[in-house]
Amino acid sequence: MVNLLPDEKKEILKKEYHLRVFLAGSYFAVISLAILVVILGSYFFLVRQEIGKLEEGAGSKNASTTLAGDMVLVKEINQKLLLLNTRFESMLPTELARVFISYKNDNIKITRIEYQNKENVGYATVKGIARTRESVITLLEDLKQNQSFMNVDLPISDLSKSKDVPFTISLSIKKDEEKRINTDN
Amino acid sequence: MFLLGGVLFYLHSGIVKTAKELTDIERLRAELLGQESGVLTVKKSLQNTEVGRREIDSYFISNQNNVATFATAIEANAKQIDLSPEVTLETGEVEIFGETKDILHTTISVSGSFNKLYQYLQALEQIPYKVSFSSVTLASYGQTSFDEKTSSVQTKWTLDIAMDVLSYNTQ
Repeated sequence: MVNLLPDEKKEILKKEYHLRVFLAGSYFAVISLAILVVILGSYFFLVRQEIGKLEEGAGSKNASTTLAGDMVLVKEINQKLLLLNTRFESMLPTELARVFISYKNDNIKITRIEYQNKENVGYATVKGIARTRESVITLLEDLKQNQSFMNVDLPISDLSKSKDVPFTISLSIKKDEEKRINTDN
Repeated sequence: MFLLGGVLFYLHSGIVKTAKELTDIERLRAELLGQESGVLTVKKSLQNTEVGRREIDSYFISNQNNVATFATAIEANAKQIDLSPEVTLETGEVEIFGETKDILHTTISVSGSFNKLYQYLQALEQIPYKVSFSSVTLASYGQTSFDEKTSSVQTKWTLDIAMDVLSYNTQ
């Protein structure tokens, strides 16, 4: 190829070419950075917005306080149910009276029935008048044979009279578990 | 360009920091969601058992009005069988299930025929409140001889009851 341009002109053209390439490159780089900044910027602000929302949601600590409140209520109900379902007497006073009456015959008059519950253990006393000593002994034996009672006791002095015998029989009422053990045996 | 580079660097470090925050928040949110589902389950159970809970509460004396209702119930039971009991009420404390609990200590004195007193005692055993009888004395008076001319119907009996209402909760 014939070289028609002088060397000076060639040098200028070369410089201008390099300048254009540099400018085009810079322009491209700036545009790319600008696009990147816009994209990252919008992402950043969107994420911040999302965090704001999440923090608002997390701020509602009421959930845990409500749960704690509800759990107190549940515990209270359980305690109430436990109390209502627990039997504190192994025998109700009327059940006891019914047992005494069932053993009573024409020769026995019951004048007093006492029931006491001390620390969930039941104690009872039955007082009365018997026509004869034998009838008191029969009543005592009947009570001794009852699986619900233990420590059935009659003072010897109560047998001193032969007629119109006043008696006082004291006993303890077995707890439900004790009754079950005896039945199993 | 330097400015843009600086902005870019700022954004990058901001995003890294935010990502960390986001992870923490997500974890917290997951925890809260778990708690929330627990709350919902408990709430649903409480809603489903509301009628039953109200019934349970009705067996508990929790205020002055309930005390009055209890006293009225005791007297009404007696009135139904022509008895007029003397009732005293006082508060006390007792240990139940290892905890000290308030109770309503009640004493009742009444006289009448054996059958009526037995019936009254039975009615008291069946009152809906949780009651523990600490002592009950059923006694007839005036009988010293076996052949006394007193029929069982005519014989006067007295009934003295000391009982604790355990379903008493004024707190």
